[in-house]
Amino acid sequence: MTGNVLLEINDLAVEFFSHRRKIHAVRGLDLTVLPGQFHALVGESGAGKTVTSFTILRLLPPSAAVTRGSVVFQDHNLLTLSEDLMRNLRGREISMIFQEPSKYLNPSMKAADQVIEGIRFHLGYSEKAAYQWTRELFQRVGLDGGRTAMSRYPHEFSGGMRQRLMIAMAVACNPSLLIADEPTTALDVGVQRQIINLLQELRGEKNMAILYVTHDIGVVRYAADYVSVIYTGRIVESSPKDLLFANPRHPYTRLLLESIPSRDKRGSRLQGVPGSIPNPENSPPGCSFHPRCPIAQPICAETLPPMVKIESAHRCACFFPGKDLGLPG
Amino acid sequence: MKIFRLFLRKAGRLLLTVFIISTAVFFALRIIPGDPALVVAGIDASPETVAAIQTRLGTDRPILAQYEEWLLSVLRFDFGASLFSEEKVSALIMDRFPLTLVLALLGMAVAFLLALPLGVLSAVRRWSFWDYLGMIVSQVGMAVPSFWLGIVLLLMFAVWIRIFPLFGGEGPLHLVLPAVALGVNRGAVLLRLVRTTMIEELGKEYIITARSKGLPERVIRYRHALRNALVPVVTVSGIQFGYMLGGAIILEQVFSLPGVGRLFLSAIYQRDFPVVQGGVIFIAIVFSLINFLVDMVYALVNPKLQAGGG
Repeated sequence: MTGNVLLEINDLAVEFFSHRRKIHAVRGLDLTVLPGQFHALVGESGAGKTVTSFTILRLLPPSAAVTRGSVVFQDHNLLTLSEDLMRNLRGREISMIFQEPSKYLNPSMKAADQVIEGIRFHLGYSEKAAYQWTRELFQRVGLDGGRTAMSRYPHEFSGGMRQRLMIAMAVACNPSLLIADEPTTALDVGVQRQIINLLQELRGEKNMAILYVTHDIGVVRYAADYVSVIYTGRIVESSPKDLLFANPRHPYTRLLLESIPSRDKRGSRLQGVPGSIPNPENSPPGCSFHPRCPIAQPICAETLPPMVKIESAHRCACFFPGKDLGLPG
Repeated sequence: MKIFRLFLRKAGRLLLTVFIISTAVFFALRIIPGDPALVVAGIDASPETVAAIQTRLGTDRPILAQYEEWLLSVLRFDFGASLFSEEKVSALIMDRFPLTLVLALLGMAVAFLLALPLGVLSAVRRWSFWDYLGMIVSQVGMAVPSFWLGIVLLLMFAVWIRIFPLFGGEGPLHLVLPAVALGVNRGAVLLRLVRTTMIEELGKEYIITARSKGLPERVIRYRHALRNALVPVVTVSGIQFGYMLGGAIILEQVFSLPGVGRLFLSAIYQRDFPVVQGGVIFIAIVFSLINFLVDMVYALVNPKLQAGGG
């Protein structure tokens, strides 16, 4: 692989088994993250975003299995790495923050201790050095680095502060990839912006790539360098952000972009994507978007459209990219 | 500050409980037919002798005056003297109680030694050999009464294989079998609880965070999951400890140990009212005190109840 790629996922498939039924959560997903990139993975809930991010860190529950593909991070195939080596990567090279920090923080452990334990384990710092570094991290992420804040319990923090604490934990060992799984969904709009700005700043300071999983197109437009649109466990369009917003080609992407309000669409009805995401247990054949697609043709129900190059790094998996959707307004 | 208010509230409840029990004991003993003076003097005694004894016991005075004196005596922890040995009841109890307490504490230690490692192992390796072993141990342990287990243990390890002494209360060796008999029964209950709460905690989201930090499984299990799993276990084991004291009283009979259990039982046989009265109050106080301490420990291990919380 080239030296300029941080994470490369190829043809990844993940299945869940529940009550003897198979659920295809991810079905042949390709994704490439470059060092220092803010890569947004966008899609509706149930599209396989979270499963993908949990697969990278190998945190899937026992009911899930990777059935195909590879996840290559800095020349290691994470899917075949020994558990010991994987543990060394987790929290040190790849770390993660989650949607609901209130659930993802240990309720009976002091804030500072939750940061310190990772530092001590990965970097071998002394108790004192780890405490000192944690204090600096607290200040950096906008938590008061005083003794009182550090010895508080998570339930004594607000939602935004809890996410800041999660971020302090995640960046403590200067990872090269941070996976952020809808980190602002549970937060107020004003706090969302602060958290995203903080992540942007930390990304610059630490030259850390961020894989930002979200369903919020507004966040993507604000922060991302590169966007991958995911639908039923596959990437349907991926592109540098500016190209994508200027010239979306996949009907799903275009309907998603139509669904955000903007000044020039004032007065017209917001479009949104008609219908809902198919049941992952029996996804439609061919292009799985065809039942909801306004321009679907017979071929779409039969054959899976391949990813094709639109221009430079802009790629799209549709037989009729950019065809007029016939939308009102 | 929160924890101080909690302390005051719980201490108030403790005092109220003791007051209610004292009142109940006082009136119960007055309602039960049979004059204690007659018991002391014997049924053939002359009315003068009985009256003299009534005066000595204070039972000839108006009931409210007796009640007032009784409450004061509870506060002073002075329940008068035994009708037979004429020793002070409080001295009799304090003389015997350490043995009962040590027995209950040892029983608790056995219960924890059984419940914690096996409970954690059952939860971590579900449906494994250890889990099935844990299930069998807890089923049998809960089903078998401790006095029966005590008798069986005596037969096995004091009669057939003579490792432990059969009778008496001298030295620590005498406490091993009763402590095991006590602990297995209560440990069985705790074992189920540790397994359940541990499985519950291991399924929570913060465990995923701990894994995402790359921590070793051992640290995730003990520092993260077990710490949280112990919060309900502490509460239940406090209540268990109360039962443990009750169980200790029974096992003192089986193992002929001179603890408070034997004292109270022989007092009941002899109609030694001051000792019975003092004994009931004493057990009630100890029980409430344990509950009080459990509440306090619970507040300490559960940070949501600590100062400044919201």
